[in-house]
Amino acid sequence: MWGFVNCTRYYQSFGAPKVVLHEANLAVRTDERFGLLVRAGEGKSTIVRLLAGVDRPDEGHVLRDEGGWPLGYPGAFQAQLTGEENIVNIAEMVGLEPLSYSAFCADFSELGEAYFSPLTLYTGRMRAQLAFAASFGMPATTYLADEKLVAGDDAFKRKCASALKSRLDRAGLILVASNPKATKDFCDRHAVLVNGKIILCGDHDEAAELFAASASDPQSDDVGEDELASFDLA
Amino acid sequence: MSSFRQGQVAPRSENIADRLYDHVHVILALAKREVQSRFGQHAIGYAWTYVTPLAWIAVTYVGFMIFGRSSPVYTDTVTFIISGLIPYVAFRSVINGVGRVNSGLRGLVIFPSVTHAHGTISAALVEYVNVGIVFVIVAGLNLLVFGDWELDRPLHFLAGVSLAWALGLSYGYLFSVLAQSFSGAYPLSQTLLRPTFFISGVFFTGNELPDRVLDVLALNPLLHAVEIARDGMLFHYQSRVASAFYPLAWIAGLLLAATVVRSLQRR
Repeated sequence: MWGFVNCTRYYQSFGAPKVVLHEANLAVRTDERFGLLVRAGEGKSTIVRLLAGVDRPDEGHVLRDEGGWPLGYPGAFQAQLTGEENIVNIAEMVGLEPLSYSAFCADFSELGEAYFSPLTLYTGRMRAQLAFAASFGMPATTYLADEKLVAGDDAFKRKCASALKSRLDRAGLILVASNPKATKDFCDRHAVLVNGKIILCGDHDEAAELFAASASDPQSDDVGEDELASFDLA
Repeated sequence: MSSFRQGQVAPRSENIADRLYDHVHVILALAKREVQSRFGQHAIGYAWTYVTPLAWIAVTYVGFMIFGRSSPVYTDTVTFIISGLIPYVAFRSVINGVGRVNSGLRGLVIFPSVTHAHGTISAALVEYVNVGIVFVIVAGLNLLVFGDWELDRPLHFLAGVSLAWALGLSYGYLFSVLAQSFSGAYPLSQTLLRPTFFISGVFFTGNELPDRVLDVLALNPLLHAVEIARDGMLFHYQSRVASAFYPLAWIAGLLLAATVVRSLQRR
């Protein structure tokens, strides 16, 4: 089970507190495909970081399962190590067979000889390809995604999308996005973050409607009171 | 170790031996990552690890020369300095290593198999090995350049260095745990340590101190560890203050305090 229990998280932005979550609640099953719409700059990455365990809430609890993996997550890489060394090291820490995992990542990432070069020499796209390869090679039960489900050039994006669809036969997905189109294709259940609360919606259209309403007047408390009353508070 | 199958999670073994093996595996993987990161792509990268302790020893030697101080024990100056500085290096380097665990593990906490304790043990082991290498380098240089070598009771010396290392580990672990709740904990730990270079018997022996001064300085557990190491290294030195129980009590107390803080954080 993934989610939040009375979770509050804020950070300081230009000296003023910026609220991401305010006593928010959410429960997502491990194998569910869940889409959460969050306006740009309102804390998408913070929410994924909280779920991944990289960040901690100021109050409340985060529900985390053991088999979660942030999609395209480069945070576990050491820049001084080569792609291969990083992948082998991750395999050793997680308990996977290093050679098989490395062979999969070398093949999927399409980095060629660069796979054996230090990450300091990688471009952003090369790092993303390695990160997505590491994600799809990982036996995750739930993927956590911060907006991006794919990376690289068009061919690599198609490859990622295909791999993701294949993985989602057995794994769940929590996608936090600011683009309603992103959640439409891959998610079965939908919600919107409004004023620090997670509002569950009946379907994608309802979520997109609420998201548009909250986006059109982000400062309005009306959205938080009257309009929210018709939605299911998670 | 599980065999690799995409999309399948390896079942977690309930067998204690298997779980212990998994923990050891994670600790070794973290240690390997730390060593590889320091190496970079060149072996010389790791040499920087030894520059600081070697510089401490060189500066102390130069200080002895400038101030005309000689060894208070019947031995050469370099050996005397090594006998005090090696346990001190063990103490300080493990504190620095454990102090880096919080930031070093930040990107790895997504792995349920990797915990703060794994990172702490791994960092401490890496530093322990590094101290051994520093000792071999400086003692070897002393032998090669000055022709001096002294190691009276190796196990006694090892015990003193290990006590200093364990003191640093327990101190560093406590402040590393505290730093997860209070951002000022790490700078505070460094500030508190500043006088230890001067009051831990690195430049002097416990035996040459007046009783009144010794009564105060003997409250410092690191002084005992340094004295034990020196006692073990030098042929002509027998400490009148060295007690293993005192630093051991400190180590137990610091680890207990860290455990209490950790359990409070979990609540």
